[in-house]
Amino acid sequence: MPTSADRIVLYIGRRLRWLTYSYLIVLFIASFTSPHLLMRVLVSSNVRTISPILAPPSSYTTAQHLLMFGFIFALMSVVSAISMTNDLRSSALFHLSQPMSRVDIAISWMILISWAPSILCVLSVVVPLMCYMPHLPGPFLKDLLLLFSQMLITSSIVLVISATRRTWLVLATSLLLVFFLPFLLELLASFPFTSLGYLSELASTALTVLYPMIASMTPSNLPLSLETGSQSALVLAAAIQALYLIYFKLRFEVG
Amino acid sequence: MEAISVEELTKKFGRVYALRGATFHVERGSVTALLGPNGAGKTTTIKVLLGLLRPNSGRVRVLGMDPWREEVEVRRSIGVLHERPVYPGGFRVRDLLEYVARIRGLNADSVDRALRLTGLGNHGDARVSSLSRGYLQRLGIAAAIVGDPEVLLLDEPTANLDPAARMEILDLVSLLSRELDVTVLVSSHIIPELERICDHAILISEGRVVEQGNLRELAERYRSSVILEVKVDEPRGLASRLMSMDGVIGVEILEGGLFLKVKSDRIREVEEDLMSSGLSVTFRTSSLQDIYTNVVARDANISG
Repeated sequence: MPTSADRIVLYIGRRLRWLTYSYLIVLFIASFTSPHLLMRVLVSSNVRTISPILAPPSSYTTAQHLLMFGFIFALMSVVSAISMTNDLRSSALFHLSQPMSRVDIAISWMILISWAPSILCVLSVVVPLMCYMPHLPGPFLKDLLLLFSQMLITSSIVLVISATRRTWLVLATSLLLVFFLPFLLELLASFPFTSLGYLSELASTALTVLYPMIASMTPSNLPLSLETGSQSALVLAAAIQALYLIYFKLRFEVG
Repeated sequence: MEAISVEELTKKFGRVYALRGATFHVERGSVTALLGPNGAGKTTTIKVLLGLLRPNSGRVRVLGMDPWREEVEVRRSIGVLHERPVYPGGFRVRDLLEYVARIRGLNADSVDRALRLTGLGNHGDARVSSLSRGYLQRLGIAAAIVGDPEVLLLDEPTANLDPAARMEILDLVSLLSRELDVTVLVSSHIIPELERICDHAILISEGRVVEQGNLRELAERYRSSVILEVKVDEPRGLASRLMSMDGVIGVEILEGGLFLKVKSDRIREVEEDLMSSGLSVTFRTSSLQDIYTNVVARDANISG
């Protein structure tokens, strides 16, 4: 009899062709960014090796490129999330009429919306770079962790919203998370010495936890270190995903 | 031996009750009709039995298992056709059934058998989206029987079909119940059509089970006419004698026998008369519409 893992592979396998197409499109778009990123990391690394004093301030520009990568792969999450809302409204009835559990379906979408785009994003940066530079510099790896944790936390929020089966809500949340919230938080975080001081500190904390990659680019003083922010993001993402699985196990119904 | 046991099942959607303490049992090997008007709770019952909906209270067992907690095990033993089946896009008929077979851990042989039994053998390469409603129902039944389920749940299998397609689907359900030796629970709001294929009935109204039992018992209890099948070599000669018999309402001549429509209060007398003449008599069915009308009338009297 097929195990839970077999069923998940079968369920995801059905979407593999579509996933491959969207990944290729994403890679095509990302390929415009990749050479710049490669150049930046290579130059930065070589200059540091020759003269650490002359090294350009690489972290800001590298982060910009990485952020662009993250944005492109976030599109993949959003498209999967919309697909999930449609599936839960319609063909979930078919799938859950087979020997498949609610948690199997939940894990499949967790992989498609959250884990696959986050991991593919990091791999799409790392694998081409490692062809030229087998040992990636430490600060760059730190940036990658920031990117990964940012993608994981934001996609986890989108994942949970997708369980509501409302496409418009997924789109609205995605727009908010990708376009508006980071800028709003940055704006609020940039007024630490005004009457908005308390709000500013809260915004800085939220920015560091929800968007550690963006926080690494902000000139404001952050109440949390980037490492703590990144770790908090990972813990929070794990908690959100655990709650999502518990919801599917105990409450999710197909009407 | 019970295949399905439901006790005091209640299911609410918000403040609206879909089922209010429904209690019924389905015997193994039976073909049971779940009858009631639209909105009576038939679809909700089937979804609870499949573990798609969580009961608010009550006890539900399918083959001794709790469908909400043991969903995978229950669904492995159940085949289901939903009232409005939705199939994932982009599949051909055979691909869809092979997908179902793989989830059930089966090989392609089970798919061939399902295609053959449901008359879809020539449509294996057709796109699911190109099938007519009648063939979509056949596909749903084919998907339901992949893997030899012990229980078949059919929710309004003839809904939105033309009369010819309805007869075809009912004949198919009847054939499958004999060929596969499964327990069948089939729901419909078109009450008379199921009397051809079922031997038990559960009558549901406003979320409550108002009556249940085998058709013969129900016919006697609610004074419904019944159909008896008589095996005889010379049916025409016997038919003219039976037409004059007290309690016989109608006679239909078949090859090698005849169907007798008999008033409910004369069933035993007619049966004894025929059997004393050395004829083989079998109970076929009773008028579900009569039973339903009488049950509803009884309930109206009680509540009035």
